[in-house]
Amino acid sequence: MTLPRALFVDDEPRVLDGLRRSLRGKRGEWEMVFAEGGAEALALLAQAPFDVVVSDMRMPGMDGAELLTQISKTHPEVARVVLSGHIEPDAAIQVSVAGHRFLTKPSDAQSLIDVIEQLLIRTSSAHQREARRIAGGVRSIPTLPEHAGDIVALLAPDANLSYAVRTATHDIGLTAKLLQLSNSRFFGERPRNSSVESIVNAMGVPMVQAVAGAGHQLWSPDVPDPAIARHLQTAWRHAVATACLVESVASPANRPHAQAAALLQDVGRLVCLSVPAGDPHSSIDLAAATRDGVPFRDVGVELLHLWGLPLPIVAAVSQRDVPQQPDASGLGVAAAVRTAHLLIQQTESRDPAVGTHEEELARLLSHPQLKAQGIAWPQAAEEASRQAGLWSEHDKP
Amino acid sequence: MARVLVIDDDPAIRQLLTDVLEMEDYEVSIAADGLSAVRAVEAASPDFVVLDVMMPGLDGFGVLSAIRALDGEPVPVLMLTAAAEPDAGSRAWANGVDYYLAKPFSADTVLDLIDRALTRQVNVSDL
Repeated sequence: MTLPRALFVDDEPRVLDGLRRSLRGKRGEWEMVFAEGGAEALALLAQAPFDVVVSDMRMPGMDGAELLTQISKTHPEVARVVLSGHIEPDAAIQVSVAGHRFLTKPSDAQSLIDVIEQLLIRTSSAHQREARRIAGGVRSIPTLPEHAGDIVALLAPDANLSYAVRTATHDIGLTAKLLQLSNSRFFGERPRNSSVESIVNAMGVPMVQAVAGAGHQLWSPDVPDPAIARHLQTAWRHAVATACLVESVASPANRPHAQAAALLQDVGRLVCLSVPAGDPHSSIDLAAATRDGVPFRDVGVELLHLWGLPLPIVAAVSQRDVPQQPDASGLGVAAAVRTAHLLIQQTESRDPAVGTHEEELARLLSHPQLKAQGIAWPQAAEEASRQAGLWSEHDKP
Repeated sequence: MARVLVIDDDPAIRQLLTDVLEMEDYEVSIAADGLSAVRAVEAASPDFVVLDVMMPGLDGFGVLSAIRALDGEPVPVLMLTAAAEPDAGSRAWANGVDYYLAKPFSADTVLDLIDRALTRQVNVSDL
C-alpha cells in the first residue's frame, strides 16, 4: 500500500527540522518530504504526486502565496495548507486566496496533524479524485455579472455594516470564503457556530471589503454561453430564496448552518460552470449535471470539505437531493434545508433541473416541529421567492 | 471535548445522563433548578443543553426564554417533558427548542440525539 504523501516547504532549515521532529510519530502513516523553498518544491511536485502541501508564506525568491497559486494551477489535486508566522490581517486575506487551510506559527503539532488528516480523508464519491482535481483548483467562487454591482458597492468607502451583512449573506462566494476564514485558526480561536452575519459583525467592514476585494480580481468577468448564464441565474435565485425561507424552517441553533447550507447548496454547479469558455479539456453536461463526468454536487461537497467548512453545512449540501426522514425529536440541519428547498420548488424560484417531490414535502411539513409553528408554509415560500426575485432584479444592467 | 449542561431537578435523571455522557467523552455540568441553569448557560457557554420542563420555581419554558434572550449564537437545546403534559411538545417547538423528547426515554436515545446534533456521527468519508 502506498502511503499518502505530504510536502513541507520553508526557507529555514531549522523550521523544517522542527516539523520533522514533531511529526515523527506519523512516519509510518505518511511519507514526508521537506523542501527549502518554492523552486525545490515545484521540482519535487513535477517528479511524483503529493496529496498535501504545507507551506510557509515569507520566503525569499518565490514566496508562499506565489508557490501555492502556481500549485493550484499545475497540481490542483494537491490540498494546500498555509503555515504562516504572524502577518497583518490584510496580508492574511491575500494569502487566503491561495490556500485551502490556514495555520499560524507556532502551531502545536496536533493542530497541524488534525488539518492534514482531515485533508487526507476521501469522500465516498465514485468520482472523488476527479472532484478534488476540479474543486482543488478553485481559489475563489465567481459572482454572477448581475450581482457584481453589489460587490462594487460593498467595496465603496462609504459601505456600512448592514450593507456588508446584506451582501455577504446573499453572495455565494463571499459566504463560502468568510466561513472558510472564520473556521480556520488564522484569525484566532475557532468560533462554535457562527452565522455569516455574526462573522461580518466580528470582522468589521474593512476586513470584509478586503476579503471581497481579494476574490474579486479573480472573478470571471462574464459567463459566455447564454444557456449557462440562465442556468446559473436560476440556481442563484433558488439558493437565495431557500436561504430566506430556511430561517423560519430551521430551529434557532440550527439556523446559522442551515442558512449557509441553503445558500451554498449549488456551489458545485457554480464552480463547474464557471470554467473559462473554450477550455478544450473540459466537457459540461447540463442535463446530467456533470463536468467531465463528475456530478456538480460532488465537486461542491469536495470544495466545502477542502475549505474546512463546518461539517453540518457540508453534510446538508451533500444531502440536498437525498429524501429525508427526520424523526420526531427534531429536523436537524439537512432536513430543514431539504424542506425549504422543496417548498421553494413550488414557487417561481424553482430549479427546473431537479424534481418537486410533493409527497415527501407533505410528509416533512407534517413534522411536529413545523406544524407547531403555525406558519402557512406555502405562503412563506412565496414570500421568500418574491424576496429572492427582487434581489435578482434590483441591479440588472 | 464538547460540553453538555444537564438541567433537571430529578437527581436520578441527572446522574443517569451524566454517567452515559461522560462515558462518551462529553464534559458534563449540571444544574438542579431554573435560576442556576440560566447562570450556568451564561457562565459555561455549553455546546448543548438538556432541559427538563417540570421544575420548581422557574420551569423549563422560563429557562428556555431566558437562554434565548442571551446575546450571541443560540445554543442547541433538547427539551424533555413528561408524557402527562399533552401540549408540551407543540409548546416546546413554538418556543424555539431544537430537539424534543417525551418521557419515558432511554439514556441511549438522548446520547444518540446529542451525537447527531453535534455531528459526531457524520464522517466526511460517508459523504
